[in-house]
Amino acid sequence: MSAGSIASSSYSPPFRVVSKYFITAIGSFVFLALVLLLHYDVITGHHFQPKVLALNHIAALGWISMIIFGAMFQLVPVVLEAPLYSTRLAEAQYWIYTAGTAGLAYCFWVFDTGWLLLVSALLLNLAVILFAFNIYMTMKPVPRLDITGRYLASGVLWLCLTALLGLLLSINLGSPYLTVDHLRYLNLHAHLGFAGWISFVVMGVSYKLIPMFTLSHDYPVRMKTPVFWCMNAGLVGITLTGHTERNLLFYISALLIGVAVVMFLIQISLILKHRVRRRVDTGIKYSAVAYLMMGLTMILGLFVAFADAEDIPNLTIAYGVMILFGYISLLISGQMYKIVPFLVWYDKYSSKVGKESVPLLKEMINEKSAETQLLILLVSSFGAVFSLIFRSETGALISFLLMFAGALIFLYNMIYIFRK
Amino acid sequence: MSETNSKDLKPEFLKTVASEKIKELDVRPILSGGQDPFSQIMAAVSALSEGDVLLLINTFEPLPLYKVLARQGFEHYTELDGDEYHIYFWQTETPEQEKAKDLVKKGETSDQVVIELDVRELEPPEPMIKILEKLTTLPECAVLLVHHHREPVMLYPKLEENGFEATANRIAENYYKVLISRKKQ
Repeated sequence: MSAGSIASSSYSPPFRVVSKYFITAIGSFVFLALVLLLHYDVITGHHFQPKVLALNHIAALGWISMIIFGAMFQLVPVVLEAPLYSTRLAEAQYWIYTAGTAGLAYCFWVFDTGWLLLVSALLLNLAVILFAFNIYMTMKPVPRLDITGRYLASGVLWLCLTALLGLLLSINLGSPYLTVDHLRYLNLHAHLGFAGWISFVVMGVSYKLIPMFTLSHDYPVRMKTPVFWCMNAGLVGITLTGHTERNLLFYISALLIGVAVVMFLIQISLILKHRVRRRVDTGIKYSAVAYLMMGLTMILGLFVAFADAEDIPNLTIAYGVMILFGYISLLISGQMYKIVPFLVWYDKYSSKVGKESVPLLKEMINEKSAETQLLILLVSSFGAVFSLIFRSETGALISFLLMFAGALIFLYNMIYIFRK
Repeated sequence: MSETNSKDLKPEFLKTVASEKIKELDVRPILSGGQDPFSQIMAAVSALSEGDVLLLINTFEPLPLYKVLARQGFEHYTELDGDEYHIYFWQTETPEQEKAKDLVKKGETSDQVVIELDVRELEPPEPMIKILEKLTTLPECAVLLVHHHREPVMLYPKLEENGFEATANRIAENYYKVLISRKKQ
């Protein structure tokens, strides 16, 4: 038996801080879907195109990373059983990060490569440093980081590298100094972001949340450590080969990342197999579909890595759509349907338990319309991928119309929960 | 049988205690203002120094309070003065009380009532709801021992709000025993 600890103070930051990130992220998602719909013809071109860069960054920074920051401030203290180092830093980071994101997206959209782009990139790097510092200081007093803690730490390190590379690329846009292909670094920047930062956080958090919500315990955990090392080794490999022609090290690294994803999916299926709660609710449905999409995305990624992608028009953009919408947006939406009702309930009702009647958690969410959104996002993601590859403007229009409808349902459902 | 004692049963200790050691708290104005004086009483109790006596003046005999303070090692003596109840509280043998509480914290032994609650088969946030509900009906003399899959860190601020404190002991991976007791004022 280990020594007990008396804890009484709040570990996580106040709800207003977390909800600021969440609300901005949800707004960005709807805005992104609207812009995609209005400019559906724009993205049928080359991916290194200013407007596509703008859309990518609204998705990666405004929607995905924004929501991950909010969720991490909430979850890291709970997972590590240590209070968040600083709520004020988390709040300061929000403003710096939001300003940087808006500035960067605007600069890409109008292709302004001047001082505003540089300032935005610097703001984003400052925000990332504040975040990394806050998480580092939160982790520091924890005697031994568990496997989830190590995944999160890795994710934050890869985020720092992603941001730094982004800064170098934005400087290069204004005053070119890189002697090698800009596109290679862009590729590396994107992959460090998606496979390094986002996937590490997704995997680490999944190890905690999926067993917690499905009541799965005593499942084998043998994949967690190999996944961690495979993924990190693969990412180091593609970083080292980022500036060269594709060579053996690059191919091995890409394969290592693929193997890591497969092992991760096996681990998740082991967890799900051992679950006590057999009912599959909305959040778990989303997650299960998103994990499958993660696998498909990885296969597409390996194809892009091994085949010469530039030969197939729009393949890179289709791959991007798959990552952003098929895999990450589904996973995030699903987690939001778990986390937001709980946080709103905790904020508004937990002090009233036993004193007056409080709503049940399942009364906080409209499961049916949440599952409609899942279906719509799934159909529109595949629709967009196929329309891009087969160059169908009509298909793209219909897909993005559906995606916008999905985003609106998400917005409506989130407002419904927040006002509950 | 009334708890009110006649004057000749007044303990020797109270007869001899210096008058400046007796801290008086009249809760009748609080009661007539429609408020529950409990928190003021507990504040006055925690403000007592060693050897101090609390003299509580009330319109009725606060029987539950006797139990609450007895748990903290207080003895009481009550006398009726017209409509007023004068209740004296003074502390005895605190070291033993401390020791008993520590033992309970370690979950090893207990001279208090231990009520157990297993929330391991519940999906979040049901464990928190069940625990908070259970605490609202927890007898004064009891502690709640919760069997949990993890350390309930989101629960702690809510316990604090309701005047409870918790000790979590990790028994195994995915198994924590969380002992919740009323906070000592």
